[in-house]
Amino acid sequence: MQASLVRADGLQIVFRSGRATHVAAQDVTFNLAPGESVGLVGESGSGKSSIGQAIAGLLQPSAGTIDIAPSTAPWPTVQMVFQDPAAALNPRRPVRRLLAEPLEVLSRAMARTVLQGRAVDDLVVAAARAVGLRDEHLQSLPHELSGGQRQRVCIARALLMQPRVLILDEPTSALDLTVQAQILNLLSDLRREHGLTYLFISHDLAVVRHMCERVLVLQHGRVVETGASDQIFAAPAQAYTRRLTEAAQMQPAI
Amino acid sequence: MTVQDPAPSLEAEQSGITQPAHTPFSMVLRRFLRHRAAVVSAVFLASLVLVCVAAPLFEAWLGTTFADQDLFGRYAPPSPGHPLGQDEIGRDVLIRLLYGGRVSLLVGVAAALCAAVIGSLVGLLAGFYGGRLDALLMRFTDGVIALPILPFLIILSAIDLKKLGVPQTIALSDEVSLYRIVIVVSLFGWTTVARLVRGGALSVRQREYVRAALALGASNARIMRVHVLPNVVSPIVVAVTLSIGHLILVESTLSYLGVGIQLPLPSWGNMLVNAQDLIYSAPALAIYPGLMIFLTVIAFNFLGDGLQDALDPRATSQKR
Repeated sequence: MQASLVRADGLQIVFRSGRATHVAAQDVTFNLAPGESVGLVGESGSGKSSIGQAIAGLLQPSAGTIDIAPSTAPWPTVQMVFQDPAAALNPRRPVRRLLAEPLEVLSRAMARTVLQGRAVDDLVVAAARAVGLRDEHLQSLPHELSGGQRQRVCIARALLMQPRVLILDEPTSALDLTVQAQILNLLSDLRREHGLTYLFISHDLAVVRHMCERVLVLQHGRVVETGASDQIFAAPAQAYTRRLTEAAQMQPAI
Repeated sequence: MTVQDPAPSLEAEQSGITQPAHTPFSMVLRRFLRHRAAVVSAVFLASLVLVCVAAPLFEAWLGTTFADQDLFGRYAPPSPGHPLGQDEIGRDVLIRLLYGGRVSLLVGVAAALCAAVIGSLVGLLAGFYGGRLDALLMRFTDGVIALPILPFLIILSAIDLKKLGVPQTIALSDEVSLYRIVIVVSLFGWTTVARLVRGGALSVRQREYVRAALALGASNARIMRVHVLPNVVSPIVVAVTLSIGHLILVESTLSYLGVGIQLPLPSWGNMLVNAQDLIYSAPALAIYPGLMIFLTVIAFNFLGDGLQDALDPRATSQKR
């Protein structure tokens, strides 16, 4: 088996509020091999997002380990794209400033040696073009963009960190159907170009089948089924998975 | 208010790009202009500031100063040389009103800004970090709110600065009562802003753009500065505007009690004190500063309301 880039072992995530506890993930173990795209599917509340956030370092797991293969880069190489791009962009910053942020953080991580003024601008323009944004969008505030354009900004922001792994948390669920297809194609292209590894979180098996080679099916925080996405889609072993695939077939596949 | 990019180098190359017609600023301005009382108040306050700043010009024009006494002109009625008449020791009332306005506005604005800085800092730290720090800072805030302010201010105002080691030249200068009152008042005035900012920061830190910044590896200081503070600035602006009026009243009260602005520096508050013995013989001397305080405080309140409606239209629709 190929060396893993990310390895989650016995992951447990528990939320406590007062005396009530909610187990978002229980004994979740999986691998992400370099260049692989793995789907994480399940109903809402099945713990998909919590697992994604834990891998991105935004959430401390209550038990279990997350091993990320050591990299030479002194900055986080697991980046995240969120479900609602309108919420994931600071409403008061124009796109140019939003995209400059990863570079400003990076140049701090690298003790301000590399990136200064002009270079930042050039990189921002290049990153915006790479995700299909036009130069005039750089002046805009997030609310002046369409949902699809906003998600492109989020993707560009994540890519500017030169990540190895992208956690895509329902990246198209807030978008129109036609825009969904464009963003999914963009993500496929980017993966090929940059050799990225995806953890693709979705409730929509049809999208996951299109995007991922391998799928983990999650129910109540536990992995109930795992395998190649074609196989899971064609012959689901679990009744729960079957329900999900049937739900996916109700809507036009992409 | 709005965070428009201050034109980095590339924008110049790509001239020809039109600014969007509905910038947030123009929308805020349009909503503000609909609020008639606020617009009138803004114009009134702007003229007041202008006239007060220009007070030395009036001095030159009338050929007198705010401290010039003229014992032959005691209680003189309005005349071309003294448009609002003269006070009990023959000083020009108009000029004293203007200088008093300078002091009162300066104290109000400066104290409100100092209070806003302290309050924003406390609120930001409490709301962003939450947990124990939040509890600690907010209990401290509650404590300050629960203090009986007036006796405290009176005690603080009575501290002998010379004994604290402040150089004589500063401790004995005329302006020291001005600095002292700004500091004393802002030490107690920050609690409103602290609570507002804390509430805002609590909700903003849950937003996904803060999580996205965390995923980038941005420092907490950076996130507070870049993402949290700009998104809680609207309530700060409103609170500061509303508190200016309140702080002018506090200044008047303290000056009235004799622990605020010290003569010969005039303030609206200490002009009222001088006038209180003469309320029957020369009511105008009390009416002018009283009216100025009243109008200014009410104008700041209208302005604050207007800003509130303009900056946060949702709050308005809930109100009506």
